[in-house]
Amino acid sequence: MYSPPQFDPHYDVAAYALGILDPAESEAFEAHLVDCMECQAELLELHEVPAALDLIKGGPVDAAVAAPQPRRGGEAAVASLLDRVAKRRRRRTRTLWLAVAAAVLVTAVTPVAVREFWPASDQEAVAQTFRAASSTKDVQAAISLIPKEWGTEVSVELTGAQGPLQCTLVAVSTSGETETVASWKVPAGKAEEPLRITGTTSFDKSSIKRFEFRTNNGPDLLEVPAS
Amino acid sequence: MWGVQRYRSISPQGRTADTDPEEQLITALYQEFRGPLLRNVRRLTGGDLQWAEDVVQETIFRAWKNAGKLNREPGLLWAWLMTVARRIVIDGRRRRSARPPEVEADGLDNAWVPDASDSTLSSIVVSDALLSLSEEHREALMQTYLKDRTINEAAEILGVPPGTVKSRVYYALRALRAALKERGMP
Repeated sequence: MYSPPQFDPHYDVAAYALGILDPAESEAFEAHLVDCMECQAELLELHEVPAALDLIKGGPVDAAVAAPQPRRGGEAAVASLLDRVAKRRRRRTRTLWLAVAAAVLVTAVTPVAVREFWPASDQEAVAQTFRAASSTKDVQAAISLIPKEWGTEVSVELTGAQGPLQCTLVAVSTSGETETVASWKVPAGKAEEPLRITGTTSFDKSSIKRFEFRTNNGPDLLEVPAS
Repeated sequence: MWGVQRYRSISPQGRTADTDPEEQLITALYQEFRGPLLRNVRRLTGGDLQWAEDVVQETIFRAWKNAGKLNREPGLLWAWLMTVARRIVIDGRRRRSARPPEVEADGLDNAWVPDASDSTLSSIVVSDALLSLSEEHREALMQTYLKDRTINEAAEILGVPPGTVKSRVYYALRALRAALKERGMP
């Protein structure tokens, strides 16, 4: 029977990894996954990409790509038990989970207060990166903005600054207000590695007009328009 | 809900090798994965520890239910656990936002200021990688995951069959994986 390629269950692996299948579909895919080596390999390959996307997604998610992993050999430690239990279950149908479900860790199951962190609208739900360079191109900066419910998270990558310098990054709002996002020192000489820092501002992403890299003892290093 | 079930008794002499393998398994799952899962899930719940604990419990429970099915390849069980945990968080968030808030968020007290140490480079790199994708691939991810929509919701909004959205998301995610790899992500 002909079926259009888009209904191939293998395509579901990406949506499954992202958690954007409806619950019934997700369960159906899981049933497919346990017997499909190809999809298992794809899940293994893709499973960290959602965490990378979370870095540029607004809202409460702050995943890092260098996420904690189980210790080496951790899986091996449970693997034999998993096999043993799986075999045993094939022999026995008795349900045991009532007794063991909450073993070891007994967490009080209390309803969690609803916190509405998620942005009401999806506009600007994603990080945006702005770039600028000095007229001589010596100093370059990339600034990435992630909207948060408390303001904006500001990630900065600065290259080519010639020390010694005492620097301040200032956010300027559309109404002309300013806030300091971060401050730092550049040691004497020219840094080989780009400087990477993260700061925050209470300004909403949409109300930020520009950023100024100011120095305590000289002209501004750079101005980065953010709109 | 399974979560309200309580473990009844662990007899003092019962925690040895002759313990029920089912018990041993769940103990081992907790020992190996609770910590790493909790740290990861806590990022997903915006620092909400109670919610994260619930998610980890349910994730480990599902692993226990599916015992022996997803450990054929090194790393696969962990990949699957993280995927399951992520989906539980997303489903939970979806349910929460589907009904009117019961408690008003009280602003800054609830806001979890992220640990900024390791996200600096990555958000810029990820933006770059996303921008390097074709328009169609980028849109596929924008219109679904990044806007917090399921495949079916996106399909309805875009007026295309869900299967089309699925295959676009599939190729887009693979392309993004490749673009991230080029940029030095593991």
